[in-house]
Amino acid sequence: MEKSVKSFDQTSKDVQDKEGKYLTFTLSDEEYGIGILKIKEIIGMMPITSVPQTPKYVKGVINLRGKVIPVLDLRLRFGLEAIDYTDRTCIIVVEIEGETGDIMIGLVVDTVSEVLNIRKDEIEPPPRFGTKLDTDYIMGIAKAEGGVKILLEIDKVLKSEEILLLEKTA
Amino acid sequence: MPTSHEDIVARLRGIREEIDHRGLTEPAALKEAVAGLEDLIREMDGEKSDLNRLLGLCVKGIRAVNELRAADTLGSVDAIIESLDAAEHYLQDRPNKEVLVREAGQLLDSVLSKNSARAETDSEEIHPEEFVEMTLNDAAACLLQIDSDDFPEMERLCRMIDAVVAARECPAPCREISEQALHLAVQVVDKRKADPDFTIPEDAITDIGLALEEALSSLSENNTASTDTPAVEKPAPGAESTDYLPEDADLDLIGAFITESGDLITNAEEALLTLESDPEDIEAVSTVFRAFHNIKGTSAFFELALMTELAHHAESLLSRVRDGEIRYAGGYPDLALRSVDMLKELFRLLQDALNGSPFLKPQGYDELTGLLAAPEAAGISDVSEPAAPRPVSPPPSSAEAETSVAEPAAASPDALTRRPKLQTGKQVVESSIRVPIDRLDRFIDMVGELVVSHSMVAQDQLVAGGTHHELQKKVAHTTKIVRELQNMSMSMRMIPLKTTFRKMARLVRDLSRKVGKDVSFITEGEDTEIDRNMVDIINDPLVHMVRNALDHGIELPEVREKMGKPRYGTLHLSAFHSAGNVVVEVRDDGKGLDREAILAKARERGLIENGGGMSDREVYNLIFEPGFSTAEIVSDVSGRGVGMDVVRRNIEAIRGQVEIQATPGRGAVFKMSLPLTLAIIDGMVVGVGPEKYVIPTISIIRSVQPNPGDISTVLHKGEMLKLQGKLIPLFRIAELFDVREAQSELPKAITVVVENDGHQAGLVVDELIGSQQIVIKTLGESLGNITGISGSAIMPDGRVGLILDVGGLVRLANTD
Repeated sequence: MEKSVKSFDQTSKDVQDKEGKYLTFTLSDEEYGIGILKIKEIIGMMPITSVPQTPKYVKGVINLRGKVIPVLDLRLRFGLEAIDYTDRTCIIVVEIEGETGDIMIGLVVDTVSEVLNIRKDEIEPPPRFGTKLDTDYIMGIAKAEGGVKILLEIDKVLKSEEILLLEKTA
Repeated sequence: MPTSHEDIVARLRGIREEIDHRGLTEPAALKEAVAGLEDLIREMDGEKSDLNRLLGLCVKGIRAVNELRAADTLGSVDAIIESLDAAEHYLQDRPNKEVLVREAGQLLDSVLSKNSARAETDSEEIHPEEFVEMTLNDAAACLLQIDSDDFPEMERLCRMIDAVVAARECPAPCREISEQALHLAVQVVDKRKADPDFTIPEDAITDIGLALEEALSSLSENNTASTDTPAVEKPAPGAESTDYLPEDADLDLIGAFITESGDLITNAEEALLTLESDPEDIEAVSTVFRAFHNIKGTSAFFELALMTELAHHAESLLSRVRDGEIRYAGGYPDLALRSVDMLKELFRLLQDALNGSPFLKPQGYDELTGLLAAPEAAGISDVSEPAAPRPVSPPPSSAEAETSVAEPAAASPDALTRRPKLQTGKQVVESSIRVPIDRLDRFIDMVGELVVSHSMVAQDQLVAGGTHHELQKKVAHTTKIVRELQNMSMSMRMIPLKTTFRKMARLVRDLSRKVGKDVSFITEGEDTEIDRNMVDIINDPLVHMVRNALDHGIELPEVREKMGKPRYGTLHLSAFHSAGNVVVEVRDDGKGLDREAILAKARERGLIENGGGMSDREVYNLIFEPGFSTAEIVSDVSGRGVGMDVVRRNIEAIRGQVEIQATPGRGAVFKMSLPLTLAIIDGMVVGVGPEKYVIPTISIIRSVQPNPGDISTVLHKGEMLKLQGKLIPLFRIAELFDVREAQSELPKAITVVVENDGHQAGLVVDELIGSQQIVIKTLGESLGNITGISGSAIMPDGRVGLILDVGGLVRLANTD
């Protein structure tokens, strides 16, 4: 009994932590959200220099005002079909914790929508689909007006096994 | 007479050889020898009294050596072997046998009596000052091991302390304390005599130990010895090595203190060297004084007692110089420099301590503070030592640390004429602030970005179109500002070579004394600036070259005189800009390089076969070959750690070059050409399909458009290009990097021939776009190391270009 109360407390605390502002964007008609604190800036599409011997979803590197940062295509990262980039295609630059301090990474998304304030009672824990779908990097699902938003745990998206593997083979 | 002479001789010889061979380290061997000799004595009983007495002495001597009682172990063993020899001679009826035996007997006797003298009173020592300390140390060690009922040992201890008290050299305070210790120890022994069941109480041992420790420390304060022996660690109870870092130390503040003091110490060292050439330079004295004073104050604040104490003593010494009480000459300069070295060592230890290791007292610390406290007591005065290894010379130490502009004409230097020169420029007070390096890098990035976006504006159709003249003028004006800004941002990472050169001045000073050569050290262009990261990298090669010049280049004063050169050699260290590079040059007027000696060595090492037709330059370059590293090159001095091959490797690692010029008998020049900065390389931009890559120009040999006939395939996979009679493997960048739309027809594509580690390879690209300076950037943590790519660069159009890693490409091609 006590245990279940504790675990309930834990979840409610987690949910509370998740409350806040989210930048939402679309990928193939699905709405996603990333915590606003992780985001450095949003830039339009720019020429990307492709880097050999990297996975498909690594589009290459760009010059962000003198800094060279890698760019990932989130569509390809999530196994969605690639589309041609348009005027509305954006690169969201996020900052995640690396081994030697914070690192910046660009994410290519279809369109950027808006910044949403999401309350804790709107957030539900990620659904479980069993082995069919890996939901590790989903922080939760928000039931906001105008549809469901998938809230991403961006550090996990970018530091999942594949990237670690990439670092090793490289 | 049961045993024949021959037999005895053989046995004696056996014993002697045994001692000779196995030496002092084998107590078992010595014991055997004793047994053998004793047998002999018994067998020859009463036969030849002289010989028997001698052999008896030998046995005594061997025993003494065996029990480590001998004062002069080596001497004893020699005497013993001598005696055995003499005995042999006697038995073989050689001429003068009586005399020999008697002499050997006397020698051995005197050596042995020395031993017994030591054993009894311990006062006849060769180094009286050390003796007291040694005996005290022995006593403390003995005390540590004593058992509660081991009274013979206790009595031995009493004798030791007694010896200290009796020693003439023992300073008064030390003697007093030792007497106390002796008193305590004797009390214990007396109690035991009165009561056989009495055991030594723990606290008595502690008390004696404390007294001994006190005596030792009073000794080190009074230590009048001026030898270089490191302070002996006190083994007395409770004297484990103490951690001098206060427990509640604020590590961040201490870190800042270390950085700050680093500058102070560097300034102090430089000022000390100036002072040596001009002892009257009060400004320099004040600089050093201030440095010590600062360190003293701050370290006291942090409760870093070791530094406070040392700085305090050094400060007092300097204040005496400042007040004109003593002159900065003779032994004082060495003392002051030693204090600076010790301070450096302390800061190094402190730095380690911040990382968790204990902050211990460095070796020789006590001795040095003792010296500083009372230098006169140790016989240091401002009178120049006449017997120093460096002979008296025309420029008495004044030209030594000369750091002014070159003046080779002033071959008869006179301290007075030089003084004005040394004082120039010292009024310039440098004001600066510290900026974190990452903020600076960011700033430089931004400026680079500004340059790129500005050039985009300037080349825009609207501006360059020619219709808006006013706008054109304004843009041209900003172009100038942007260019200035770019130059400035590049120069921000640059620091002058001054600090490095100062270090060399110190090195030359110390080294020239050590090898007994007179050297006038002249630096030029120490304001030449170089990338901050490179300073550390060139330091070691430079030290090596300077040392080489001193060691091998410049001859001894006598030799120089014979050759008609001035007694003192000249070592020039200069830096200047040349063709976009910084050149650092070490020039000596010594004997130069010996072509024949180098060739002989190279032949011996199998580096060359004959070498007859080699140019001087090729021959000199041989000394950079790894085979030369550990051996003597031209002179016999060797074993100095790094070889010249390491020098070359270090320099080439930062895309520099080393070159040697030499004139036999006239001197040699070692020339390092270094790029201005590590952040920029010259690169050739090549196009492969839609992609652009950069190949470092330094690794490019040439580029060709080969004839189809020159290309042959291996197993229909690998391609080879025949170029000037050589076959080199071809690598298609497009295939390796999976670039589409690249030119695949070989004759149309261009082959860039590159070299890495002595191996050539051809890289097939579509076009050569042009060569330009490239600012190197890493690809960042997330993309890690990609084989074949060494980094990235921002191209003039603002895009990112990838820099090819030639070595990696070759590896990549081989793994596929």
